[in-house]
Amino acid sequence: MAGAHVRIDNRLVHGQVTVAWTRRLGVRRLLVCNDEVAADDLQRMLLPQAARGLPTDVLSVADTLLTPAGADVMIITKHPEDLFRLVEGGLRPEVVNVGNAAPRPGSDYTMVTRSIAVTADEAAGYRKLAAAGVPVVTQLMPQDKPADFVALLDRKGL
Amino acid sequence: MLVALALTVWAVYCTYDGLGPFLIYAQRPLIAGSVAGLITGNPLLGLLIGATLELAALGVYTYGGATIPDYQTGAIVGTALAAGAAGGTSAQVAVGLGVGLPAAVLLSALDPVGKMVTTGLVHRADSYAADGNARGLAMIHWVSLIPWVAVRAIPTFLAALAASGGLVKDITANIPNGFVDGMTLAGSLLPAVGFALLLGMMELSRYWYLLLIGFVGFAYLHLPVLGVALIGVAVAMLFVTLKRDEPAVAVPAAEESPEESTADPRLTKQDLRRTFRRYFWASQISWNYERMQALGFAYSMEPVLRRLYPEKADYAAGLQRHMQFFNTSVLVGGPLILGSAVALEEAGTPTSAASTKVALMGPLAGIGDTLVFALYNSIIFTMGASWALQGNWLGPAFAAVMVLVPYALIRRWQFGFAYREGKRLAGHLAAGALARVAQGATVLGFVVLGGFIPSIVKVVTTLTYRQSTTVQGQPVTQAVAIQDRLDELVPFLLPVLVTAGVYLLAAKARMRPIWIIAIVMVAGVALGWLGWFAPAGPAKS
Repeated sequence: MAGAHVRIDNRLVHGQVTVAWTRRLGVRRLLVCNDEVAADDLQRMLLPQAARGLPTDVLSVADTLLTPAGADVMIITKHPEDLFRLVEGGLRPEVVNVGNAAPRPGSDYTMVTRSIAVTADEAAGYRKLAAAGVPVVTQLMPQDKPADFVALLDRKGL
Repeated sequence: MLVALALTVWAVYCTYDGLGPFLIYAQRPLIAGSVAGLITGNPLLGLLIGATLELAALGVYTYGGATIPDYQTGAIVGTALAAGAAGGTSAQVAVGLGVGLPAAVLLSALDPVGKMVTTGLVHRADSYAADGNARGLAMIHWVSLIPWVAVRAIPTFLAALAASGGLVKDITANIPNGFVDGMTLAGSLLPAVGFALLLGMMELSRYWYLLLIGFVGFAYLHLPVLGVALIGVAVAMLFVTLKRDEPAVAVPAAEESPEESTADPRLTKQDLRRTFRRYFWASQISWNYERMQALGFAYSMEPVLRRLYPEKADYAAGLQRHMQFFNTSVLVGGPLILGSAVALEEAGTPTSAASTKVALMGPLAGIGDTLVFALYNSIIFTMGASWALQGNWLGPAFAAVMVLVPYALIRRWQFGFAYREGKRLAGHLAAGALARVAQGATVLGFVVLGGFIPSIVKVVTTLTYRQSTTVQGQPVTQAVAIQDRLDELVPFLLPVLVTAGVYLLAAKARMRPIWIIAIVMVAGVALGWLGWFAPAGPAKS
């Protein structure tokens, strides 16, 4: 069975996701995965409304791992750590798309693309993932060409 | 020269309007082109070029800063060059479209340059925030507008200057009639691109049948577009009302915040007005890749923070708190978040103010962008453009008024509502009200699109075939227009097929909009030049 499409996006469910990505990928279900977001009532209630009718669950990392996720599911993680923990827990994504990662205050980051900040630890995590055979790309909109993320990390010396 | 300068000033305003106040949505090609037509003294050209580009650009808005074709500059430059071209109106429009569309696509390459420069500037704003220097913060915010404006105004100026010379006239003096016919056809096919891109963003598989209502209304019942829209409103209300009868989502009681809240209102009416005004006039003029609308939010919150935090250190911390990454839909959503952030800061719960902002910005961007871009704007700009195509000034005027008044009122209302409700706002939103509004608007959008496609995408075939019949025992060969046969089958079959074809290219073959536009342009010019197809059939005797 083909695995889920995973997107890292600190803005979670927003225009780029709902309007462009879910339609293009033929996604039938969204899983928003982040422990803090899952524990926040407000976000748990609001995010499904933003998904415009697409069934949406807001889950912790542990609960996401308990949910079957095939090719018709898109998993949106808030931060790269969420994804790394999912993969450690046994998830095999079809592809990982690094969407938006705004710099987090207090972290020592490098802007890899205009909208993606990466720390040294995160870079190591991405490399491990790619070495394990999971395609890691960044692609803002579906009509853009996907760019190999590890090559981008190389270019920035991360 | 004077005209070139005036067009440049107009380009500056258009760019600012689309980043700050959205008074008349001047960056949309319908508005940008129409006014450019007035400036060059050729109002009709501006209307026709602006409206055609508008319809090609219907589904095209920027989401989270993705770069899109610069239709604003395309419309202004196209109109300016058309005004300088030789020949009659249709030849001039052909020149305008032939230049304006490629210009829109090519100039989009400059868009990231402007956004990059503002990204550098936002770090200066960070240090001003840390020092509690509001003046420095405001200065950076407004200076950030310059790169945004420059990448659009400079190309506009250069092209407008070139158009004012006699060169354009000389180059365009010998445009073949076939090319003009071809461009005219391409122009009338381009709306299919806009409609198809729009459909690609909507839930077609779920609501496709609603298109039939609009189609039948226009194609069989000959209703005007406004009539179709009214039916759409009724159907949308029906959907929303029926939905309301379903059990609502359980809303948990608002939890008490761990932070102690202080009840007495400390903000004056003037503080609130200042904050709203700053957001209204300048919400995203310093938009940049790294922090997006953060500086605009901090700038808007500044009058409130100044009142609430007399201690300089607290005030600076407040500015820094609101300099964190922020992005949402500025017309529907943004003012709600601003109002709730003000209320939560006043209640003495700054941590909630920051976390509520983060919680709301994503969902409201999803809902707000859908409502504003895909639904409301598409409908009013399509109606405006369809009137403008008939040379009617009501078109852009209607669109401008329908932007000016409702968006100003709804922003004011959101801000006041969110401020009054404070912590309870989340409960209201969670009750599903927004999702219902979005669904109603989607239903309306589908019904109206069903009527728009046959009324605005104009194409008929002029091909005929020979048919032998026997008249009074004599074999007679007569020419039969294929279009007549098609009309007997289904009216407006070709516009529907073209739109469906473009939709398949966009949604199924995943072709980039730029290539789709190129294909439609080339196919339109070729088929129109050959004379096989035309926007309208020959007048029937």
